[in-house]
Amino acid sequence: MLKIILPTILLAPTMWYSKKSLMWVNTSIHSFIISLIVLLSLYHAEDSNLIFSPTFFSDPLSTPLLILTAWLLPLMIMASQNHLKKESLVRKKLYILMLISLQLFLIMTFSASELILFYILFEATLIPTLIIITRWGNQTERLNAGLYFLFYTLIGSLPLLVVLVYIQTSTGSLNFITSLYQSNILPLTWTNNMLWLACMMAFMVKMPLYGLHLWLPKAHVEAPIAGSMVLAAILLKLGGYGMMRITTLLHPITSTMSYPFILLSLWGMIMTSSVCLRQTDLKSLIAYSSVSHMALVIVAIMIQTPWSFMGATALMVAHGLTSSMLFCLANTNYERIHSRTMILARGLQSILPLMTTWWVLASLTNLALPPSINLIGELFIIVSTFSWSNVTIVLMGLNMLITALYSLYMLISTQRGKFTYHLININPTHTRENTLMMLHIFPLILLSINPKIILGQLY
Amino acid sequence: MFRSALRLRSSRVLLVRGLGTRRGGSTLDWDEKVSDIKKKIGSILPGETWAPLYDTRHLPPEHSDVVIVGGGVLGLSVAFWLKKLQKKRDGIRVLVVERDHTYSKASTVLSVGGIRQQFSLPENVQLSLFSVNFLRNINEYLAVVDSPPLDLQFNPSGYLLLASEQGAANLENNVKMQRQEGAKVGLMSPQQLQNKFPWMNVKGVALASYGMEDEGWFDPWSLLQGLRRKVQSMGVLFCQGEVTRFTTSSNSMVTSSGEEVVLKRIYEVHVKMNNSLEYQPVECAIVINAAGAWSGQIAELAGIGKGPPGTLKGTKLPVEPRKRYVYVWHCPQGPGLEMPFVADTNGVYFRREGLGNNYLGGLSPTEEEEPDPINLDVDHDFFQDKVWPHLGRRVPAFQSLKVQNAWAGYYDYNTFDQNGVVGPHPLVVNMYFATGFSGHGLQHAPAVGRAVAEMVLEGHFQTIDMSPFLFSRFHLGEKVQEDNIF
Repeated sequence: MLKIILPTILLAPTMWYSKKSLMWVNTSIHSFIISLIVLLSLYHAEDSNLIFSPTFFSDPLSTPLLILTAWLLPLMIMASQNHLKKESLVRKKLYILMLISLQLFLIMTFSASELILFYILFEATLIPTLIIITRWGNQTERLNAGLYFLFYTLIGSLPLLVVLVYIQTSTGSLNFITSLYQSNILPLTWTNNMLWLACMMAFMVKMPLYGLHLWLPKAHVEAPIAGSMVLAAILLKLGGYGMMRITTLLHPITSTMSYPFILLSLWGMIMTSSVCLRQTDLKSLIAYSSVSHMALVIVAIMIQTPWSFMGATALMVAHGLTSSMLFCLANTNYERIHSRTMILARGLQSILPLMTTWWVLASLTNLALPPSINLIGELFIIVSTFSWSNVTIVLMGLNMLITALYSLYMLISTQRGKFTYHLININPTHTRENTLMMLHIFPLILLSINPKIILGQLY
Repeated sequence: MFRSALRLRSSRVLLVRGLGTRRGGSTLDWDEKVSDIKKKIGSILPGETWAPLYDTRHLPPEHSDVVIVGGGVLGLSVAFWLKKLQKKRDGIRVLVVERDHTYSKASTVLSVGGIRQQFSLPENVQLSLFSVNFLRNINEYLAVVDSPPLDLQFNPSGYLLLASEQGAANLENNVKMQRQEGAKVGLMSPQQLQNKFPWMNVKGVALASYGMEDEGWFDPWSLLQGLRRKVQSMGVLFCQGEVTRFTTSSNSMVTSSGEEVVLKRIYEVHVKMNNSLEYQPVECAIVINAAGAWSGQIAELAGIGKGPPGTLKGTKLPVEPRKRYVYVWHCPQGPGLEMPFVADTNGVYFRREGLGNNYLGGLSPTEEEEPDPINLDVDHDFFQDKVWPHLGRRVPAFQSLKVQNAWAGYYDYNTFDQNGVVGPHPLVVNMYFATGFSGHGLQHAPAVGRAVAEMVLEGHFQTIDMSPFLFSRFHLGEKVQEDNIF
């Protein structure tokens, strides 16, 4: 693991001491090399766990998320290049430093084998994200957004700390590897119900669960592009990953306590999809679509069957790539017309046809078109929830319909029709933007050919 | 006793607060400090605006989709229609920037408030027809929950245009065109005029056209306030400030004939606060120039007109402020209630004002006599020398009158063809104009607002085709001359 962590730490001095003309190039290429290292060194973890040390390990659940994290850093750096053009050099370097430190904490979070270490790094990821949102966001509302983001997560995760310390003192160890061999069955008492709630709330807020999702539209919309990308792609998955890890300690309370959260997620999934149909702000639409997809993941993790866990891991990776790509596309619009409103940028197909290709591919994967991995995730989840309760098929079917509706609505209103008059002088697509989109869609397409690597532990 | 002991002892050292006493004007001032702290905490809570360093409530937001420069009736009308024609709630964010919230120099409130369909261009007639429909149904358009209905004090008394021998043929053609468009205008011979309006001296009048319905005058201040109220309830943000700079980005492109053009786009508007150096850069996607008499200056800020003369780049926006005087007089023997808005053969106009035998009117000076628009001072000699003789000739009762009041206002005068400029600029692609109406902007405001909103939201004019009014006519030299300007 050190061969991944040390290069990430040393990316910071590389970036800081580069010449001004080489700064972006250096950071992008070196972070690419790190992502290739991650890819190659973790690849054979698909069948077994790789235990690097007592502190770090990777198993088929965390490996795809680690690869996604490492893959995303060069993409974030490429996406931020344009909007940081006008800032001073020190500010640019600070921004990339935030991204690198966020990357570092995330890599360590996903590979942590001790739950307290996981918790510390989970909280540590909040700080660079908060700095990115409040300092480099675009509007006055970003301060409000940062506040919501910070306090929702902190308040949700404070009980988790208490519970982790309690479990540590009562069972002696919080290591994942050894906890798999513990067979402590939690008796069904009220205290243990509180314990379950305390464990889960942090991750529920992060996912986010429908009733606690208020921070997400704000944070996603106000964050700059790299902030949106990392929030949508990785930080949400921290919640899912944490839930999957911690439910191993909470057997068998989950089967009773999870009921209200499953219902809330099922309902929330449809509600947030419907809200997407009425959105006028492009980024807000994509943010609510994230909530909707993550609600599916929550349902899957709560019902705890092998198929649902496979679906959850697949959907997490697929949604990470798709959402990040949609945010990049919305950002290309924003950089051209300086507005995120959908009615002001219409009919782009006539002006930027290659960008339309990327829009089409992103929208199609967002609505879970076969044979993409989004479909595999959603399909596994739908099948497993059907076996949990037959009625959910109605809700899931309705959700798929509304997802298709709003994805197509987003595609058609931005691409088709007559273009607005003031679009006649927008810049053509930069090569950097095309590369960015291609690097998002390329793993998605490749994974559709071999999805078993993202199906997690229970394949 | 204890207290007095304290006071005696402490009088030489420090002023100690008496136990349990509170003097008003105390140095510590707890109440105010506590309420300050409460206000600070209240502003940090989610949902409130919070700026960690200083109070920014008076500044405009950092981002707005549409920035409308100018908060007069045209600017507010564009804001109203933008919000009305948006298909989803909160679909578009609009900011109206107005330099003077008292509207002390705005053309809207200093206007005489007339509305007529008697124009020489069919588009103008259609604009007026829609606008009068809007004004008649104003409480359906501008209704705000829990607010009293608007009373525009619309006096539908009609317009009477008088023509001498030379202008009679023109007048007849115009009336024919107006009737085709749907205006209810009729021609009158001098004999019919004398019968209908016995107070008039019809010497020198060959033909007259009288608007029988949908013409008259109304109170522009009520319309402005009604629009402001409605527009604020629809979610448009207002800001008091002056636009000092447009930050633009340019793109050099080649047309199909091989010619190179530089297309600019405004992406930031610097709004400076009044009486201060503080400014806020507002990031925007579209700018609408509805600054009235000052539209020319705003256009220059955007770089319109900076280029070799004769090219499209060098074509300025030909709108400049022109000062016009309005005089109010009292004449007890005057025409009374049965009096339309009369426009004489030589351009003198007058109408009844209120119910107390007051009348108002004026005259547009000739090109040589144009007053200096540097301030709004009134020239009373102008009334004595130029207006009163004609008034006395046309209405004998006006030979003895007493001037009560006079004011001056600006026309946003289009020196090219005295008609409005509507629509986008060909080179600065996101600046739309809604200005230059040279004295008939108020009466066309609702219709023009709708036209500009359609152009912004749909991309083309949908209801009334205003393409003859686009900016490009200044470069191509295609005048759409309006003759009936007073």
